[in-house]
Amino acid sequence: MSEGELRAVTFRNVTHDYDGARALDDVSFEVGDGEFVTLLGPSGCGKTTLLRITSGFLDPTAGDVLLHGKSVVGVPPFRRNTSMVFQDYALFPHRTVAQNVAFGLRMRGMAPDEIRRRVDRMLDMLGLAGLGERRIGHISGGQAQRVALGRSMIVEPAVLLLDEPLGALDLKLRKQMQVELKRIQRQVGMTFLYVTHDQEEALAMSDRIAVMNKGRLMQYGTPHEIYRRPSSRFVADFIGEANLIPCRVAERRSDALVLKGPGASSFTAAPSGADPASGADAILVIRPENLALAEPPVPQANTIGAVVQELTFLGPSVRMTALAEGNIVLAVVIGPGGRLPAIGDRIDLKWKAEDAIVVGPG
Amino acid sequence: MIGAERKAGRSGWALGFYTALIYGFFYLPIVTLILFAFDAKEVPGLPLKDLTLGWFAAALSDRQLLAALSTSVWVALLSASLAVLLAMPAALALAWVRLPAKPAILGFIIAPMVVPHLVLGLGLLLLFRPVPGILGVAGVVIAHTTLNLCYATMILYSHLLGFQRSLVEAARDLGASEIRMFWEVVLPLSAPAILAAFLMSFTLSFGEFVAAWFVAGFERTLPIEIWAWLRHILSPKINAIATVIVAVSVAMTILAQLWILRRRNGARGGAA
Amino acid sequence: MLLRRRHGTASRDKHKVSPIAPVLLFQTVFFVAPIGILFVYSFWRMQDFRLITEFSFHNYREMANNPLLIKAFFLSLRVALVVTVVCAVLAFPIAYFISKKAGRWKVACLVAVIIPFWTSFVLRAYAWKLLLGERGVINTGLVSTGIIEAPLSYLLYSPFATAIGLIYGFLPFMVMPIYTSLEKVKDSWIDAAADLGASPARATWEVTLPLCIPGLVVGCVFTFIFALGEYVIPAMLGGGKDLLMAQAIVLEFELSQNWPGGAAISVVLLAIVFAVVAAVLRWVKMEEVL
Repeated sequence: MSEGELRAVTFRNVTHDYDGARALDDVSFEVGDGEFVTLLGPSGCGKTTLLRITSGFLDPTAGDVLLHGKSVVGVPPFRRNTSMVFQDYALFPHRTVAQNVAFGLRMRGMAPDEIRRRVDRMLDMLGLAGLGERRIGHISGGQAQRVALGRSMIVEPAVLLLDEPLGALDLKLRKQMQVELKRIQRQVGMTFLYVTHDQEEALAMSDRIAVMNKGRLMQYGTPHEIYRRPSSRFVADFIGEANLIPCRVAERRSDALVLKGPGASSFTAAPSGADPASGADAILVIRPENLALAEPPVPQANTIGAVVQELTFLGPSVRMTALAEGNIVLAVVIGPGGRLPAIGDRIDLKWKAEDAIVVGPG
Repeated sequence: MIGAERKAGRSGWALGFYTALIYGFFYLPIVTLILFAFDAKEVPGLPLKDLTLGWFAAALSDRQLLAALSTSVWVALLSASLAVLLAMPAALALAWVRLPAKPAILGFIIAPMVVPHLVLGLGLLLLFRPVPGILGVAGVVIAHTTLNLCYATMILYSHLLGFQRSLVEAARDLGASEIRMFWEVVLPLSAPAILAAFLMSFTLSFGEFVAAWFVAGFERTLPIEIWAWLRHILSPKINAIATVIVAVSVAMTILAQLWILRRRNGARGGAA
Repeated sequence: MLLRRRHGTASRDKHKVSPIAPVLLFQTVFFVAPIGILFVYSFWRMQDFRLITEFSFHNYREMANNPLLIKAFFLSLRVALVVTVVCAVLAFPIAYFISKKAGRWKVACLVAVIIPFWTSFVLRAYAWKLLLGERGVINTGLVSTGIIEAPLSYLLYSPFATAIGLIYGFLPFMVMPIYTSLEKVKDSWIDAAADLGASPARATWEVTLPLCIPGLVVGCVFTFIFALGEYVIPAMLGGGKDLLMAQAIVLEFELSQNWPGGAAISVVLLAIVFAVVAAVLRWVKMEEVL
């Protein structure tokens, strides 16, 4: 418990049933104070449900949610020290920018002078100085996004909840706001719990990512861990691009895992400590940037033969797809200066054992 | 191509002409009604004689007509207020809360819409037989509230269904209690719909005759008064008072509609 | 923990229902109860100006044996049907014009349709009396221009006059739902039909019209049941010869003081209304159009 008090948010076996369907299934993890944590997953994975449970708009069917060590289940949203930035911003159209930002402070009964001071400071920090008297209908999408952020941050919540806040912006503005959001978060040191289905966004902004699927927490870790060491086929496939080669575990050695691939191929991979048992089905995961053309003499281990199918010029690099034995489509990124085969060529692709990840077949 | 366009133009012209005809049909009776209010002849009819405002003076100094007018205004104000006060909370719950029997409740509330006013009036008359004191202004207010309720509920319900729900959640999330959230967010943003519901109820009640006729007792609303006059005499006084009524209801309709549309356009210009 | 939550849900349920309770109570007392009482009365009867509170089918038997009532019943249905069909035919092009052709005058055109509807029925009926009467505007105009020699007497106080009044009264109610349906028909769909070779008329027939059916149905239902139950217009314009149902009900109540008899006719009228509404609710969802 004493350890939990350091945590901004603790989810303990949170489960939620909605109309008989399980929206969240036994989710447990912790969000540290001042951390930027992203809930990432396809639509319907339960990430928004978890956010709404944190904010108090929903109660979990079972399990507990703690804010700074105190359970908040059953506490209504207006008594909870959380604050939400809505997907559609939910700015009050009948109020000005400043009145919107001031709303939460007014609800807390703060003196008008103090409210004005804090609102001015917030508008300054968000680059909105001078826009305070504007009506919500007369500001741009990016500005509206900042007003929504300011309105939620000004009440100094224990955790700021953001529900796909950049979804309504166009690509360029979105990239800009990603940087901006991260900067603001670091500057004020506030805990952010951020929902998105955009894995690039999650990788770019988060301290830690909770990958969710079908109501379950699939993996929780830093972007680096999630990308380099996915714990399941789903995570490997969902985060970034991955080549998935079905295998069977032939031998578990202390220094390496030996796998039988399609045809007579055989691979080795670094053991991870949670590898499938000997004889079990497994999936070998290799990122496209870790595959390379093998020049003769072709090494025996960790290579696979394939036929080039397509070459796509991407500017700095070339993306190649090749069909390997067992009808496996492989994607390869060839960096600048790399040798380019022609379509229809028979090639061999190689990778380093430490770049190969083995996950279960599920 | 040119031929096709010309054809479309001709059919467009025909449609426009037809529309003009129908609008003529809509307004010919109203214009006639108003026209005879300004004619000096004792019995309204063609040909017109002299232009006069005398009938307005006569109508507006007629005690019976004025009494009926004031009764009608009171009935309309009370029944419209009552309808909006009852309909608003119901519409809120129907639009925003998951209710088990929602379609049934909605159907129940709007059912009076399809029942002939005559039948409702008779039923209420029979209901009030043991308490004859209700017949009169109270009876008419009750009858009209019943009729107004379905329209008011439908207007408010459809407004609240389209209400941006995240605004309500944002207010709650920022620490507003349910009552404050209602006053600070829901009420101001619903004002046009509430006004529209009120004006529509007011106008409906103001012009309603049959149901009121049965439950008015010895009181007379303006439509009842006019009805009684028309049985005996045709007088341009009626045209004069009718002109006043038409002017007021036209002004109310335009006011309500324009406010709603301006608000809607304003909101559409907003972000997100 | 579980107990606390149970308790919470129960109080929340009460919280959910309480805002609707006043309306439900009001409608029960002042809408359901009156109709219930009317229903009960229809099985009682009047004898020597005294109410006999014994259950019997007396009034319904009387009704079935009264040729005047039977005639009124069928005339009402016929008039309501004709009015509905005429309104539907007249309303569609108007609704189409407002929705697709009116451009920036759309709002003005809409409001202009709504305004007559907001004017008291008594006044509208009176206005038609001024127009259709033997010395009314239309007859005077036609005679003075020499189109006819003597005023047409059948213009007023006839089922024809009633029908005109009803069409006038309910045309706006037909235009609005059709307009609402048309608003949901995207211009690009009509353009696509035209692009694929459909003439404007064909595009209307193939695309626009089928998509308007919900609005058309709702408009027809309302027009039909309103026309069936309308009293003021037939009473003022229809004269005393050919009675409609609503007039028959009032006659029973006012003249004959036969309340149970009038109640029985009302119950029949209500039964038709509810049957029509129920039949249509199977086809169209109200919310699609309102």
